[in-house]
Amino acid sequence: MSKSSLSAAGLLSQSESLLERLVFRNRPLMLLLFLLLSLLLGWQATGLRPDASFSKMIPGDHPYIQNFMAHRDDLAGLGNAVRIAVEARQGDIFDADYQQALKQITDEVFFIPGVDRSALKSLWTPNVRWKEVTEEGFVGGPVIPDGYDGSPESLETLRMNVLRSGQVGSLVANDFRSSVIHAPLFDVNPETGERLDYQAFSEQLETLVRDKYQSDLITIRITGFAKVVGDLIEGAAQVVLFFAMALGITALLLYLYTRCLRSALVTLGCSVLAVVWQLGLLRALGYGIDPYSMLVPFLVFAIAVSHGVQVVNGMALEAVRGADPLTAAQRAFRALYIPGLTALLSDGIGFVTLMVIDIAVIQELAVAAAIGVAVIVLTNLVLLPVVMSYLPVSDKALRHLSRQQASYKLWGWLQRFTRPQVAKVTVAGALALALFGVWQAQGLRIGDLDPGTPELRPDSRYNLDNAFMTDNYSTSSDIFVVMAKSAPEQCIIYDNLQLMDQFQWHMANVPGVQSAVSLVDVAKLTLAGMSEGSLKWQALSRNQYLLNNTMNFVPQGLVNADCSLTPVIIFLNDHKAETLERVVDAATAFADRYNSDQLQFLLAAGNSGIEAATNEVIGQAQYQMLALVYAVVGFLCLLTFRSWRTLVCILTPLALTSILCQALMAWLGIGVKVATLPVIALGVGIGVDYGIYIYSKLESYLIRGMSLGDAYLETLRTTGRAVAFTGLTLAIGVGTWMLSPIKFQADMGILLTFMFLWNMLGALILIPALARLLLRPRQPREDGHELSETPVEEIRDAV
Amino acid sequence: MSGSGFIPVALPPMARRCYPLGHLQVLFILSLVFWPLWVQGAERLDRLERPAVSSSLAPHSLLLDIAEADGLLVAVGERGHVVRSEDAGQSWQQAEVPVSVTLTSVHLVDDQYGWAAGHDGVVLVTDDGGRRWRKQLDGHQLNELVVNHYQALLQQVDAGERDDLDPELVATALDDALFARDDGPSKPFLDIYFADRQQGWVVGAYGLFVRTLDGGQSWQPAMLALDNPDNFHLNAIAAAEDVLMIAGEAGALFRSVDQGRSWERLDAGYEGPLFSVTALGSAEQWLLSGLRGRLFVSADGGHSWEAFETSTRSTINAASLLQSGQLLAVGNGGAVLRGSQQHGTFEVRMQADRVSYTGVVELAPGELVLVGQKGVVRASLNGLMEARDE
Repeated sequence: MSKSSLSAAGLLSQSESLLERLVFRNRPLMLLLFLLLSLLLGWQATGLRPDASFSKMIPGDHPYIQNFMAHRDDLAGLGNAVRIAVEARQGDIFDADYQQALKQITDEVFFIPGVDRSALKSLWTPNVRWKEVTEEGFVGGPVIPDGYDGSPESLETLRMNVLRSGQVGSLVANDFRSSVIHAPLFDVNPETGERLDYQAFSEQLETLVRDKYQSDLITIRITGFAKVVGDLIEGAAQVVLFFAMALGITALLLYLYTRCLRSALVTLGCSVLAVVWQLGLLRALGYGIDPYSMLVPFLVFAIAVSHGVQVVNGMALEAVRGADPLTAAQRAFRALYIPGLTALLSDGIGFVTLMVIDIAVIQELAVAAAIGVAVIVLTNLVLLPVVMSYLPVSDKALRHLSRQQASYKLWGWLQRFTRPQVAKVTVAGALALALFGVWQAQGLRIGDLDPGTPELRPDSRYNLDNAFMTDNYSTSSDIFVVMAKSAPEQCIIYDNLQLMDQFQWHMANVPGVQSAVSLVDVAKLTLAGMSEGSLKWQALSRNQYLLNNTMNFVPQGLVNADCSLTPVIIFLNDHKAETLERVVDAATAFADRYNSDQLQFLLAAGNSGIEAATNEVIGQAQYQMLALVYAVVGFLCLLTFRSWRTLVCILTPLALTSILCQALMAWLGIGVKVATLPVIALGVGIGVDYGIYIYSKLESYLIRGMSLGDAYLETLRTTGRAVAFTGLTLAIGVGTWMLSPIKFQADMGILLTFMFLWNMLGALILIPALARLLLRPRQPREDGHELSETPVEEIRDAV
Repeated sequence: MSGSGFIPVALPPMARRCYPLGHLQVLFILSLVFWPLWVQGAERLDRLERPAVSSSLAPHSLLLDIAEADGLLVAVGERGHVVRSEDAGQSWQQAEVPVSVTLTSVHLVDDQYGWAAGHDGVVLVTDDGGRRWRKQLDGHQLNELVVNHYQALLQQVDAGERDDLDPELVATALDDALFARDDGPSKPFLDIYFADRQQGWVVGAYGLFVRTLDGGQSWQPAMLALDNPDNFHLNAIAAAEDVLMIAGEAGALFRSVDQGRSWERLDAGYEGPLFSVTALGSAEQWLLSGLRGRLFVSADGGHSWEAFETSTRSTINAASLLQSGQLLAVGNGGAVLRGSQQHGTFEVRMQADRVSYTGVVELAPGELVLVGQKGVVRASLNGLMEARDE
């Protein structure tokens, strides 16, 4: 023990006995304490509410977001609205029954709390009008003709009014088979001062509109941010189901593994307790639970189970050797205290590195996960052995364990990796795999890659509705907004409009931009309108009086109240990162060149503007976070094992998995985004557990003087099963997310499952191979043991 | 830019003492050093000074007029866009244009020479088949021209040399011209016609009317030649043989039978705006178009007109006599009208995309190139007439 007494583990082992005494001499008191805490935190956890706040999903300190937030009120008309398309299944919208239904739905929407009634638009609201230039000047009226009675004549008048209203493509589909009810929403209800409850609003849309009016004749389609949030919260609620599934599968596996109902239930119970504590603490600290942090309980549960299994496994091993339950528990506690704590600490710190990312949901996920890991230290490293000290592992389980230990052929096979030749080939193979991964990972993209709303699956109802809108209406759902800011009352002056016009054309020429719209277009169209509709006048006039007149025709949302801010709305083909980058580069170049005291172009708002900012933050944080998580995990390993060779042994499998994970993302078309960025940190943080458990055992046998081959075989026989089981539980815990209707949860599920399994395989295969190549042979303590490997046959005989 | 204000004062004397550099060299070096600042100040150019941006979107954005001569097609539109085609409109190249104002009309006299006019009093000329365009006139020059013109006229009137002019009228016109000069180059030209490489006329907003006899090297205001005391917009000009016809706002209609030396006022019996005037093969037969699908045909050189109420309510922007002898008119909201002079009826077809058309030329019988809101469109007459009847 000369070497280990110098190590951190050695230093800690001095205090271990004190802690051990504290825990095991006061077992009833400990149990009472845990019971009280559990009741308190359980009560707290019941108060936890789902929470999906828009502002938390975006990088609050990014200059784009700050610009957006600073002018949010001025842009209010732009963002938050729902569009309800009412589609005629047969024929077109010029049908008496269809119009009757449209009128009813419009009335229904009018009364849903949260809708800005004055701005509500449909064919049946009085603010939708047609206009025409005649010899006498402008004439016009509401689109629904006076005295409309559903007769063929009045429907024909309606058809003409619709054509003259210029609403085709925006309020009426290009193919006249559907029309839209456009309902702007209040973020904060001006009457009550309450914030809009997205979940309740979304539910009302479903019950009062979709369920009520969808029929053989009419299909209802709804899009808008409020609906996305509503669907997200609804989808996230299914997480409870997945949790139950994960719980069930894990319980079954635990039983199959231990063959002891008692230990399986206690492990499960302590792990569930960890989740309850974590949720309770979150609530006590004032956090809610959002669709991202909703996944943390799964992780906590899985990590808790994996550590619990190590404890139960350790106890069973002691019991096989004849120890009574208390001694077994104490010894297991003693043996696992250091590696367990190191592993959990590296998990926790791995999560905490996520705090460098300036996006609140990721930071909250980091906090939630770190709390969870801290809790596991208490529930599964302390409480579990204490409880188990009262409940001996069943004899059946012990028989099962010894049978398994003796007969497990797999261990002999895995032991081959300590042979020099196999080790070389293995390491070379890993290197080749890593190179392949790096090559594949070139295709990795930042941001969301699918069309529609990327939070939800491409074939979700929302995205189908959204695709319907983009197919049948002339508007894109990917909107990038640049704010043109001037002094008050100056937005309309000729020089400013001229520069905005120049900017719009500059942007319209960027590949990926469909069109750009602003106050300038309204001014031009109005000037043409005031010149009897002549297109030759559809240009900015230098005559300021004419320009000022056009202000009367500017719709809400294209200029703020004091004429100091006008959004330039840029419609994009998609929201791929390359498109956004091009748009940002072009807009920034223009702004850098032309911004002056008179007029400034400020980036950025609109869903694509926010996404561009998010992508920038994520692109920067990606490598920063990776470097940090590896530095931290590496430092902890170094502190524990005091050897750079060990460090390489433990970190190499992790690095290989990280690279392959990126290659997998590129291959599956999963972008680096808010949801997938934490995955690698989580994968590395948790994946290091395997390495730490395996290596600490391996080292303890090496120190006793065993050859590498013997030591590894012994490691596998004692802890190999637990490690394999851990990988499996973790993979199952996160694997159920793949079923989630929320796309990003499913993506996280795929990637984490992959990382947990690969990390386990990497640890079992690469660690022995690397150890063979890197570790210097030790002087044997006992005679008869060669430094070279022991032939497998000999080991088999020994067993 | 306080920096650039400070430098010329402080540095040149020092530079002269220390280095054998001239002012220009010093300024050159300084301009390099302070290039970013300098550029920022200078970049914000007026659209009269800023060349049109080369863009692949130019043939597909708003184009307002199209002209054809000897197989060359040229169309003009917003942002100084001029596009040309030598393959019957299959491919289009954007021309080099020194301004980015909206161009409203174009006229080619042959496959080398052509003129274009537009907002801010701009007239452009090309002598290489529309590849490169040069500015011949802009609103600043025009304003000076008009002020000088009326000042000279007023002197002549005061000197008793022009009995034909009402002194009060000239004085008012001069006042207006001075006011317009302060207002800047804000008046658009709306149509242009050149009889040959020398003689041309341009009409525009607020009664604007200028002519040239030397291929645009010098321009003469000709507003007083028209009986247009209310300065109504002049929207269109066309010619047949030696007869010129101008149509404008509030039914304004003028004719010259002596190559523009003198003009008489005609009446089509219509108070609304007339947007186009088209000669139908001779100096006797003309077509006018107005608001809400109104068309007027004359068979006697414009003395009497027959009004057609077509079924469309769209404004008709341009018309053309087809090689088949039929008439084709195009307008806002995708309106396409085909008619025959003999029967006096028009079939109306509204195109499904409801894109407004502003000009049309026929290349071969029934083969058309149209321009409008979405740029150039090649179409066959039969294809257009298959659209839904309104």
